Order: sequence, then structure tokens, then C-alpha cells
Amino acid sequence: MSQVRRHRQKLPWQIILIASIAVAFFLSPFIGLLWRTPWSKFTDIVTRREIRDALWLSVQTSLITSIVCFVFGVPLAWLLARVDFRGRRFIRALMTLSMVLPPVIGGIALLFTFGRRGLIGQYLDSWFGIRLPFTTTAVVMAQCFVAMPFLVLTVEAALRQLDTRFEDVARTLGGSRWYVFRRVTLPSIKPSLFAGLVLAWARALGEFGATITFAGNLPGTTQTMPLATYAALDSNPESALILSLLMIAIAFSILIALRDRWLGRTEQGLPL
Amino acid sequence: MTLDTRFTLSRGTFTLDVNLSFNEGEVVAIMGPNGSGKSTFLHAIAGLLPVTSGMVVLNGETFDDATTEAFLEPTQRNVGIVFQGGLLFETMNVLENIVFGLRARKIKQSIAAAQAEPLISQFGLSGLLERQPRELSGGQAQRVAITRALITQPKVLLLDEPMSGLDTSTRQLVREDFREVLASFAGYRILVTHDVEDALAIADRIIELDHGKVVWNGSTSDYRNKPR
Amino acid sequence: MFGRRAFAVVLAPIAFFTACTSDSNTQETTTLNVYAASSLATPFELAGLAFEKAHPGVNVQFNLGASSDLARFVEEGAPADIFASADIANMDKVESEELLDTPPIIFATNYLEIVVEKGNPLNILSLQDLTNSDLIFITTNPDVPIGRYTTEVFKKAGITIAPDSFENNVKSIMLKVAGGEADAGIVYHSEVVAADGEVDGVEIPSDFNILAEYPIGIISTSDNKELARGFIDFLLSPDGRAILSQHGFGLL
Repeated sequence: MSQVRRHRQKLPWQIILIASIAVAFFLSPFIGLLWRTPWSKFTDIVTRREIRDALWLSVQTSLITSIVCFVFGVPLAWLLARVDFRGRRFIRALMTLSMVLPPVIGGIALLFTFGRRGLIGQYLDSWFGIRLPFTTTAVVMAQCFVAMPFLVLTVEAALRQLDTRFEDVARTLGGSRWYVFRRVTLPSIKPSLFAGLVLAWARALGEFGATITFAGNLPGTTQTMPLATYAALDSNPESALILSLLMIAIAFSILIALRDRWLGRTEQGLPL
Repeated sequence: MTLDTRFTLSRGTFTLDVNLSFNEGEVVAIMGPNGSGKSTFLHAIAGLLPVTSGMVVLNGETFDDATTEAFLEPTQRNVGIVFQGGLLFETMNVLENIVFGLRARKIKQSIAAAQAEPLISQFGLSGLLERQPRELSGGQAQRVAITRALITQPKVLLLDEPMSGLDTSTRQLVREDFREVLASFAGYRILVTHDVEDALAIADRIIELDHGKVVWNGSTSDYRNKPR
Repeated sequence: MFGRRAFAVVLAPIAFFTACTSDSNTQETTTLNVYAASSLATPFELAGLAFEKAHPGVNVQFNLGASSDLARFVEEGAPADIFASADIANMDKVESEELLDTPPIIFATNYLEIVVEKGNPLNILSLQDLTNSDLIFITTNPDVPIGRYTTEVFKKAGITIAPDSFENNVKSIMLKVAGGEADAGIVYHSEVVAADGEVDGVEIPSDFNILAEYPIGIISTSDNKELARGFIDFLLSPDGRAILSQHGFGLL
């Protein structure tokens, strides 16, 4: 057979079929949610005070968490990527551990460490009178505990891919390590940095287990959106549904907006 | 006035072992196959890698001495380095790249730009200042990289494979260009290349490395007549 | 130190639970799914062990949690055979969905106590003492029975208290008070008994106290109704009542 026909690219149907099942699996819960949503009560519920409080608290804490993750996470990522020190693998494993750990366990660990009778918390209390549980600070700590690894590991991966000779050149030109880090290293990994920040922020926004265990659940102080949603499940399933939708809408629109704004034209970073 | 390098530098199983002296005003080409230690040698002079034993001394000033553990940071050595392809900072335009060394010394942007002006016009880059690195040709990027290295008036200029990666048709032109550029700088000039033609065309002296050892050290004319 | 003990308060039922499930592989087993309020954890697990011993081949599986959570699970079709709630309201929810086989039976009662850290360091002696706003007082959501009972107690006593946290369930209150993270909470008397000296209980006068009634019922979708009835009968038998009363529950 000497056919000179141009083969049209034939897609393997088996793969498409299996992939479609995966897509359906992820999509159907959202449809299920939409299906049960009492739309007529939407505005009534989202304008309620406790919902507005929870929303505002979630926005505030997740943004503060993102900033804290940036300030502490980026230097840590740099250290992990650039300096060969003892315990580096241990620290990296620690980061991964807190990513895969059930957040409730993280919350219990935080409680037994920073709680009033905790390893460190007892001194915070007796020396400075600082009590962390049941405060908004505890919410941010719980969020940082689960969210920071996402930023650290993303930024570290980007730093590893960056040619170190850029930093070498900058050093020979007289740039101090800090100046080089700010002016050369950070701008070069900007896409991954934003990807890491967005991931950490999204993780913080959705945080539930560590927050309720360590920070408790008090409207206006520690009750973030996920906690309010859970609390509403019993008293008012309809508002739980609407809260869930609200969270999905916020997370989704910000992910989309940021993708276009920061991650649009680049192949680096995460394929958001 | 000399640059003296008498050291060993080990990285894993590889050891670079040299005892070389350079004179001010001389253009020296360092040749050798991949993994012969050429780049490691430049790194040791620039202070990007510390020596394992021995020392690096420039005009009597100790850069690195393994016995006294004296080590001058790359920021303080005033050694300019140019890598293959120029390695311009991609997040900055041409002007920002050129004045980087001045800005790192806390000189204001406007003053730095004025200070850079003579070099910029000397290298014919006045029309390219607003361009992004990716909008430059290979030759242009190379010129910008050299200007960037010279802006801080270094005493030593190190060039790591500056011409590889350029296509053969422009290579001849760039080589001429390059000789001119190098001639405008009076300090120590050390060029790493694996291309014999480049070395013969540009250098006064050729040093050949293999497996971390010096296997040839002599004038370019001697090298040309060297039996192969 | 306290941590380990406080932890044990919470984890003991889980350890029991895993022990129960792991040694039942000798023959074909029938699993009885009991959804029970978390305050019932210890006596139910003991009752389950005794019941399994008397009925070879039966494996009693517990799902312990806030009654409100459990009621929701049952409504959403979870495979429960028995539901034991810590209040009437959550049982009513299940009953109104016509998910009960027969009307529920009240099998135990409980009353409330103020729970404070071991040794009562803040010297809390009355409901009135809880109004001190420096004190960390925690409760649960008002949909969890203990949270609603707590509100009732305050209403009867004519005091208002702003809690510092609405925890998931009564076990979480116990954990945080035993661990010293919170100063006080209001819990069932049976919880204080179960904590075995890890916390102190402060009596609430009967004028302000409530009688918590624990209803139990068989779920209409159960495939093991006979076995379920057997388990309930065991709870009502002298042996079952002994276990309940040992753990601080009242009997009718």
C-alpha cells in the first residue's frame, strides 16, 4: 500500500474517555451545588451581617497570610535553592509534610505549641501576656502553617531553574547579595513568585481544620468563610450553599484574573 | 604589575591546579576542551569560587589566600566578567543593564546615565538604550555586556566564551569588532574560548588547559607554529 | 504532660473503635452502624464490646460526632442502623423526614456542669462568675445540643455571656479546657466523669439546670433492624444501664 494521504491527527478515544470522566468528576459537584442553591434568597443571605463579617475576615486574613508567606517564604526558598547546608533535605521534607498533613493535626500541633499552656505559648503568656488561641492572629498563623509551603516550594523550583550566572555577573558588578536578590533574582522569577503567592493565598482562603482547632470559631474574630459555611450547615443549609458558591466565585474569579494579568504570556510557574 | 594565580581548586573529583602569571595590557586566551577547568579558573579570579589551596593576588592585593583564609568578595575585586551570550538581565532594558554596576554602588539613575554616556557612545549603543535584551542581535548583546562590565572601570576583564553561540557569518565581523573593543581597555584581559581561530585572532598569548592542568603556555605566534 | 492526658480524653474512643473493628475477621460478620452523639462515646463503646461478645459475628461500628452532624448524615442517606442523639431536636429532624422505624425511646439523661481546668485555678464557683469578660468561655454552635442547652441555662439564670469560640462539639470544649487553652465551658456531667480528674466540674443549681434526654431510634432504611433492636434492648437491660450510670448518665 503506497498511500500518500495526509493523516489527520487521530485522538486516542480511550484517553479522551477517561479524561472526560475526570472532568465530569470535578465539574459535577459544582453543578450539584448550583442545583440546590436557593437563588431567590441570595441577596438576602449575602448581605447578612455575620456573612459580611466572615467574608471580610477571610479577605483580611488571607491577604495578611500572603504577605507573611512572601516575607518569610521567599528567603527560605532562596536558602533551600542556593545554599547547600546540613538539614536542607529535612526542611524541604518538613514543608512537604505540612502540605500533606491533615490540617486538623496542624491545628492541634499549633495549639500544643502556641497555646496558653503550649511549649512556646506558656512563655508568651507569662512573659508578655500574649495569648494566641481564639484571636485573629491565630487564624493567620494557622493559615500560614498550611499555605507557606506552597509558596516556598514553587519559588524554590523557580530559583533552581534560574541560571546562577546572572547572580554571579551581578555580584562582580558590585551588587551586594541583598541588592542582587532584590534587583536580579526576584524580578527574574516574578511569574513563579506570583503563582506561589496565588496558591498560598487560595490555600489560606480555604483553610478550615487548622483554624477551627487552633483559633476556634467566633464570628467577627476567628470565623472565616469556611468556618461560617460549616456552622451554617446545621442552622441554615441554604446559607451554607450560598456561602459555598460565594467562596467558589471569589476564588475562581481571582484565579482567572491573576492568570490573565500575571501568568498569561509565560510558560513559567504553574499552569493556572 | 601582575595578576598571579597559584592555586588548586577542587570540586568533587575534579581539581584545577595552576601556576600562572598575567601582565597588565596583555590579552590572554585560555583554551581547552569542555571540563578542562577554563571556566573554573575565571570563577576563582572573580571570587565566585574560593580556592582550595594557594592564592590569587592582583597587583600585590590578596584576593584569596587559602592559608590565611583571606577572601575578597566578588563585589570588592573590581573584576568584570562577560559570559557567553552576554547574559543580560532580562527584566531590565539596555541602559539599566549598563548602569547596573553604578546603581549597585548607590549612584542615582540620572547621574549613572550621564556617567555611562562616554562608554555608550564609544560602543555605538546610543540608539539601543530603550531596547529589551531579547530585541538585540547576538553581537549587540555582547557589546552591551562588555559595556556593563567596563562601566565600573575594572582592573581585570574576564570573557567566558564570548563568541560562541554566534553564527559563522557574523563571527568574522564580531571578531574584528571584539578586537577593537578589547583594545580600548588597558587592564588585564583573559578570554576563555574553545575556538582556535578566535584565540589566534585576538590573543597575545595562549594557555591551554586539560583535565585541570596547564599543557601549553606561550605566545600566539609560537602556538601557531606549534607542531600538531 | 497535660497534653498527653487531654489528648487521651479525645483519642481513647478512637483507639477503642479501631480495636473493635480489627479483631472481627474470624467469620462472616454483620456490621451494625451506630450513629451516636459524641458525649456517649465511652459507654457506647463498652456496650458495643459487650454486645459483640454476646453476639458472635456482629461488629458494632460507631460513628461519633455532634448530633446535628449525625442527623444531617442520616438525612443525606448515610448507612446508619441506629441513631442516638444528645437532644430531642435533632432526633425530631430525623423523625420528621420519616427516617425512623419506630418512635424514639429515651434511654438516658444527663445534666450540665461548668467545666474548668483541673484545680479550678480561677476559682469559678457559679454561673455568675462566668460573666467576667477576661475569662475565656467556649461553647459550641447553638445547633449542637450542648450549645443550645448552654444558651437555655444562661437564659434561666438571667445572664448574658459572649463566648470566645463556638467549637465543633463537646469533645473540643473538653480538650481545650483540659489543656488550659480555655478557662471554662458548660458540658454534660457525664463528660466531667469521663475526664476522670483531668478537669474539675462546678455544679449548676437545679433551678437553672436542664435535663438532657437522650433518644435512640432505629433508622427505617436499616437492613439489620432485629440486631438494632437487640442493641437497644441491651442498653435498656440491667447490664446496659450499669454501664451508662457508671459513666455519669442518669436513667429514667
